Amino acid sequence: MGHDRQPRKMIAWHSAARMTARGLTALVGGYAAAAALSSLLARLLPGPPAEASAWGMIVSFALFAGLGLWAFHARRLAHVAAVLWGAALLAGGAVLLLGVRP
Amino acid sequence: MPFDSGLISYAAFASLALAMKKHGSSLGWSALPPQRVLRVLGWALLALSAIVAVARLGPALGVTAWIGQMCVAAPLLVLMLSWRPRLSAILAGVSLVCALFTAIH
Amino acid sequence: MAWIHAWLGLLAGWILFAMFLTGTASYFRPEITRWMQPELRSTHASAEQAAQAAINHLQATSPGDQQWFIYLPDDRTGVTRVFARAKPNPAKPAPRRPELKLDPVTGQPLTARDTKGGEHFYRFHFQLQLPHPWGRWLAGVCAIFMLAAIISGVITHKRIFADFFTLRWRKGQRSWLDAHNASAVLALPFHAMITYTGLITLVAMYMPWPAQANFKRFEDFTAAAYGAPAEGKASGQAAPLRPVGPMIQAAERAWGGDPPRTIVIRHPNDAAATVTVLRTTASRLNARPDSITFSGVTGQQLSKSPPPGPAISTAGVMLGLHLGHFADPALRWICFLLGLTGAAMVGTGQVLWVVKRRKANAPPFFGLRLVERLNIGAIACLPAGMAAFLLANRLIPAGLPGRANLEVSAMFWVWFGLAALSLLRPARRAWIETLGLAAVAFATIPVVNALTTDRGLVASLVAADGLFVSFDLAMLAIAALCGFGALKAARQPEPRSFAPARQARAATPKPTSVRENADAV
Repeated sequence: MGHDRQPRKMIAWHSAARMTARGLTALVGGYAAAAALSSLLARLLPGPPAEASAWGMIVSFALFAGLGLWAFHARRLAHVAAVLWGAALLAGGAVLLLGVRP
Repeated sequence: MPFDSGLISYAAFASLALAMKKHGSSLGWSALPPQRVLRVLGWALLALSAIVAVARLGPALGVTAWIGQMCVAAPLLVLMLSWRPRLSAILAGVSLVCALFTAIH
Repeated sequence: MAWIHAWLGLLAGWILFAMFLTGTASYFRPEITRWMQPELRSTHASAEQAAQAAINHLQATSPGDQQWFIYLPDDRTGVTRVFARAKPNPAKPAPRRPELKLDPVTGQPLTARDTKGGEHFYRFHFQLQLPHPWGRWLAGVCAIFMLAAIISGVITHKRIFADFFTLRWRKGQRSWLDAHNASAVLALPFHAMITYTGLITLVAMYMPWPAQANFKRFEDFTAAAYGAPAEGKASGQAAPLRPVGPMIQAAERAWGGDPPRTIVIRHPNDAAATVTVLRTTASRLNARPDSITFSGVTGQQLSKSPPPGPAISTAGVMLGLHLGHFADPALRWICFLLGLTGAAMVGTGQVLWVVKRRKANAPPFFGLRLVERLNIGAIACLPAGMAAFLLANRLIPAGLPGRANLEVSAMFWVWFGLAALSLLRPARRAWIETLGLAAVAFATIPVVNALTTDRGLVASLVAADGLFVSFDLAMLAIAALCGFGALKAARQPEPRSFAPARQARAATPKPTSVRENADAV
């Protein structure tokens, strides 16, 4: 009875570590992706720049919450990390390359 | 701020609740209107409560007051329904009458 | 999805409960402040009268300041507040002067016991008594957890319509689930709104990036959105400040009769002086005030804030919905009840987590005990702390220096002290006793108020003092609510003890016995 307690504990730690990793990806990666995507939206929306920025800020939290929840819903953590960080890098990169609206 | 919107939505929720078998049967009344009638009445009263709020307070403040009063009426109805179902049903009628009074004024 | 909802709610729930309770109290921020300074009596003065009286006082005491902020009285605050910023002197930096309360009619400073008043609950609500910026960040993390919990809660709730009116009492776990569902679903529009708009109130801190995509500096965005503030440099040439009455009247005409709420004067008694008048926000949903700026010397209108576009208006309305300034007293009480419903949603969720995992035939595991103890500390002990804050206001001598901070300390000592003491009691008893103590504490407030001031319940009824009467009644109602909670906790069956049979006091599982049982599993 006492022999198989060791492997069970290790499995518990392993899955806890995986969940923590997914949580951090959701929180940090999700924030980065939401920030980058809403900034890109603000940069590209036509009309007065203050308005476009305001829309970007307004929708950013819905985006963050949605991405964060999706991060837990999708099966593979690698897939989630790739999408979130990829979106953050691509959108963020695009915003930096485009530069501040002239 | 006029409360008739909230009174009407209380009656609306009561009607919708009693339209459901598990709540309607808790009254023990044999002469309850059929479920479909209660359901239509409930939605109609809900719409009326929105109209009343907007008519009284204008669109922005009206919608806000409608939602705010609805969010208080619904838990009140649920608490009453779980505690004294018959009283909650009677109060629905009373609140409708009160709303009518304030509307006439 | 249900799993993530439970984790999001559990981790953020303790702080969210505190945010909900203090935020709900903040709907009555000026009223609480007035209650906590019973020496003051509200007087009414017109905007012009109050503004000029305040300016006369400032002219007499510190005419060489850089900026004067005059917060005009309204029927809720009852007093004029002024804040003066001295001219920056690199040789001798001046300490920041505190805000002053002035009589609206005479402009003379009012003396009353020093207190933070309703500001304490308000600031705690989004700063959590932590140093800047950590408090706001933590509050923000909890808020985004709440938003995700709301979304996942709706997705996870399969029978959301069939169960819409269901509330079953005395059925254990099912009752807690019903209570959680009822408080969450029936007021869902409010909860979703308050959470999202709460994030928006601090969006400049949480998500400034979309602004920086279009503007080099964040200040450029605010200038474009709300109009550039009249930041001129002082000319160094002295010039008398014109009376502000005509400027206020011109502003009221431009605003269709809406009175101003704040006057900001830059470089008073200088040739470059400006007077900015800010519109009241109590009459509309948008909480961003329009402003008109006049020259302080000629009285001519210099500029006014641009009419906001749809996005900026939306953000302003979201801010307004969260602050609730637009609400008349009846709607404000509704917001208060809805805020309490939100606290109930969070609290029942936390308890449900424990109840669901407690097994009748196994001792509680460490995580379960930890969560249960944190629940008691965060949910049952906070109300007593808030009552202690109010009681301290009446019990600490009015002239004692540093009393404002003592009141705040009272809240935290009682809250955390009670939480620590509750660890010595078995969980079920701890719930009953802490909630019972909270009930007693709140019920004592009207008594202490009557004994230490001349504005007790009877005197206030006679004087038709609406605020003091409703405050006392509200304290009694809250006491009844806490008492109801304690009674309900007392009716719960005693949980099965896992101590060895020869223990006489079956209620307390001793630590050693729990360890023995755990080894046996």
